[in-house]
Amino acid sequence: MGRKQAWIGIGMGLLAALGALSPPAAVAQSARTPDLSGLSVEELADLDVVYAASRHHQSQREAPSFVTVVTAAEIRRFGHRTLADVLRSLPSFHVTDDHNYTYVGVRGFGIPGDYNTRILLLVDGVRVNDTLYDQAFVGREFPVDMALVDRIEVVRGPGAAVYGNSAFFAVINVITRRGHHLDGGELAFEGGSRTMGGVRASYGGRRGGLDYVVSGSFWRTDGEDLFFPEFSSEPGGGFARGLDGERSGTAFAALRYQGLSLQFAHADRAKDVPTASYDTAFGDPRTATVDRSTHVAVTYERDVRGIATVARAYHGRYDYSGTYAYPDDWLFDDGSNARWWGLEWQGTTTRRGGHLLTFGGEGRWAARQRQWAREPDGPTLDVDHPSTTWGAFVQDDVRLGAHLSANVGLRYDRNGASAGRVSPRAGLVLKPTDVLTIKALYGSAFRTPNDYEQHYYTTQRSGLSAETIRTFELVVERTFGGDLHLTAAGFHSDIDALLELRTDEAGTLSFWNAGRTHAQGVEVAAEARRARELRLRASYTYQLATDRESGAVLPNAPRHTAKVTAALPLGPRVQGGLSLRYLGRRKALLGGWSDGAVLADLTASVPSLWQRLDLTLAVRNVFGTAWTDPGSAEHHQRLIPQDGRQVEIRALWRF
Amino acid sequence: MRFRSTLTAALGACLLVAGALAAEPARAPSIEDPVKAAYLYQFARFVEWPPEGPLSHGSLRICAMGPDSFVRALQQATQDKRAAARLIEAHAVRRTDDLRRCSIVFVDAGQNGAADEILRRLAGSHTLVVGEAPGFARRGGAIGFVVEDNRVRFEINVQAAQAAGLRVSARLLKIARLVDAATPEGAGR
Repeated sequence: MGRKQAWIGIGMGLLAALGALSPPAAVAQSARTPDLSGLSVEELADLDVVYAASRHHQSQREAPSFVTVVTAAEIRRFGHRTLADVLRSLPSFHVTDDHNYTYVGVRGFGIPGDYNTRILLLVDGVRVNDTLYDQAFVGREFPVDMALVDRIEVVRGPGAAVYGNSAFFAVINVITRRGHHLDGGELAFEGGSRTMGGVRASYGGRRGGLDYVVSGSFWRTDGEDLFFPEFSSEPGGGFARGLDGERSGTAFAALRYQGLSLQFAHADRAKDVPTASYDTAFGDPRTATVDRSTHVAVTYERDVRGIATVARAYHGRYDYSGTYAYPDDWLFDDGSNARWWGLEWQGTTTRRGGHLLTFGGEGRWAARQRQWAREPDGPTLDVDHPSTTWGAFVQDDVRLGAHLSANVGLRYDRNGASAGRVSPRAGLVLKPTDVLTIKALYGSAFRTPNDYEQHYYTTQRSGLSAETIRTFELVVERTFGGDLHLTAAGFHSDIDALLELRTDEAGTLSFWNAGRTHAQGVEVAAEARRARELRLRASYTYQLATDRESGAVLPNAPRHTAKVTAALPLGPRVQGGLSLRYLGRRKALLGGWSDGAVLADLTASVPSLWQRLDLTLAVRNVFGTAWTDPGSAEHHQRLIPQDGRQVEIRALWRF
Repeated sequence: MRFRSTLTAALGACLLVAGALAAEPARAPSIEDPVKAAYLYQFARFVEWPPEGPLSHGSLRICAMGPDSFVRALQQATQDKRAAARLIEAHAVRRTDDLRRCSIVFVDAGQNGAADEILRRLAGSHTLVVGEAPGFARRGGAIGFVVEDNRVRFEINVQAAQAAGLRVSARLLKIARLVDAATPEGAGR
């Protein structure tokens, strides 16, 4: 930890302590029920509530971040199938697909081969990144079906001051539908191009104060037939046919009774790998990966003497196994098994002088962190490095006047034997008028090298250190007449010791700490609503991340991105969703650039036929644009071709 | 197999907890509560009661038929507040007999079965009846909350409000979606 960071940390600790020492507010009020009586009726009607930015409910205007909330209505309107689809539609994000996993790029970064380790993913506030890879699943491996999502909060910028490890570039909180939102059963069927098919059954309701949801789903596809020019001299001439299949299943249950809730989520996914990654034999259908994860959490919320407390115990398990077929029938298997247990507690309370104080602590025990690999001759790797992590944080949201409030937060984390980390953040939120909000934000975060990075590659040298980020951000939000909302944000980040996978001169793969990296950019987003029927989101992002020493642009991040989504009526009973996005060219790891591409998706849906049936027709990549994502270190492909036009039909029956 | 045992254990635990707690019906505290409570305060400010009626003098009582968590949010939102110089009082009400002196009655979705009974009892009175069950305003309540796109909005049944002798300010009407008994589900301006 640098000396400057230490001073910033101490300063913020003092500020937070100031809040803690001030006397409690006159009315012992629960922070879970904030007092909104100061808002006008117009403000109430436009109030978007966000949790993930500060670990307590607050209006989107007050949140010390650039936040986007995606609702169930939008997910349905645009036919989003996965979290990756949702993120593709939002400013600051781009998604890369190598036909094995999906990777999320944020604000100038799209580090090839990064398993989304720098994004903290929460389901109803429960961390679902695994402990071995820190992986956040955004594809079919994500354990919650998009049909069960009530809303998704996307919080940009470092969030380590309240969340610790992994909250590096962004925090995403997926909030699931309550049983009374379902109020009965749903049976959904889908089918489409590439022999895609899926079925889901869900049931939910509220009985005697108990709110319950149970759901299960299966899904499969044959995937694309792909052509890789790098393999044109191989048998098959570079065509990978029938090698892109994917099968997944999810199970989900949630029970809530007063302040107590129980959540269970499970996903199981198998993916065939068509790219001959890691030097495997091209065209061998046996190369495939399986990812299976389970999360169980018990949460108890209650007010204790004016402090809204949340206590949670959770358990997670993640199993990966991969089969890699090499020439001459030489089969390589690897896998991992992670089991972890966690406890967390937090309290939120109001104090006199306009302080809203949030504090808490958590401990996580990774009981099992096994990684193994096997060649035909026998095992080559079998390691297990259990570890413990703990952290504590304090945060103060303080009102400094009628138009100004501040957020200061500080967190201390310790992971196993490594040195402790202090993550401060501070933000000023200025509201000079009812329609204008200006946010000036500073945040920091870290990510410790995970077990995979430290121990998977047998040639890996020890001594990897944590990577760190510091971000300065200015966000201006302006509302026009309640129907039009504009956001402009500028950011600058300094990243030190970024962990990346490299191939050295000898051709072996291992992780390294890179030097210092800069990223900066500007984002402009507009959101317009007219009545309930018409809704438009448009955004443009300019972003640039460069290596400080060489000045080289980082791979796989578009400098320019533009996105437009429009929800509009197509007929008296037909709702339409149109999505257009432009992704600028991206640098490939093996040299050269991917071409910029314009992609269009179109969704038409007829809701409430006979009150019970919803029909949806979706066409992805309407123009059949040929486009590519840059490959990663494990690929021979410089560029990996992406999905062409796909047609999908979905029917949902409510009972 | 392991997955199945986890699932069984999880469901078993759920059932045990549910069984142990199955007592007084209540709903989980929700972020919608403080928003609805703040709205009720605004309704008290932007609705006019008939000057000659019994509900237009003394303190203005807002009565909530709902769980304690909502009543707490309401008390917090109306603490020391006034509407047209009248002090606002928030009360929890359990029996429909106790609703007569209330200027505003809020009917929780958990009372859904009793909503029609409450509306019938209050017919002819000057009480502003606000509910949150789906289609509440269509069924004769003056104001019904609806949650759309992560926002709490409200529907006003102008005929129902007029029948109770209430004058709703243009400021509320501008924001509200106006409905009546004939408005089909999912429609309305």
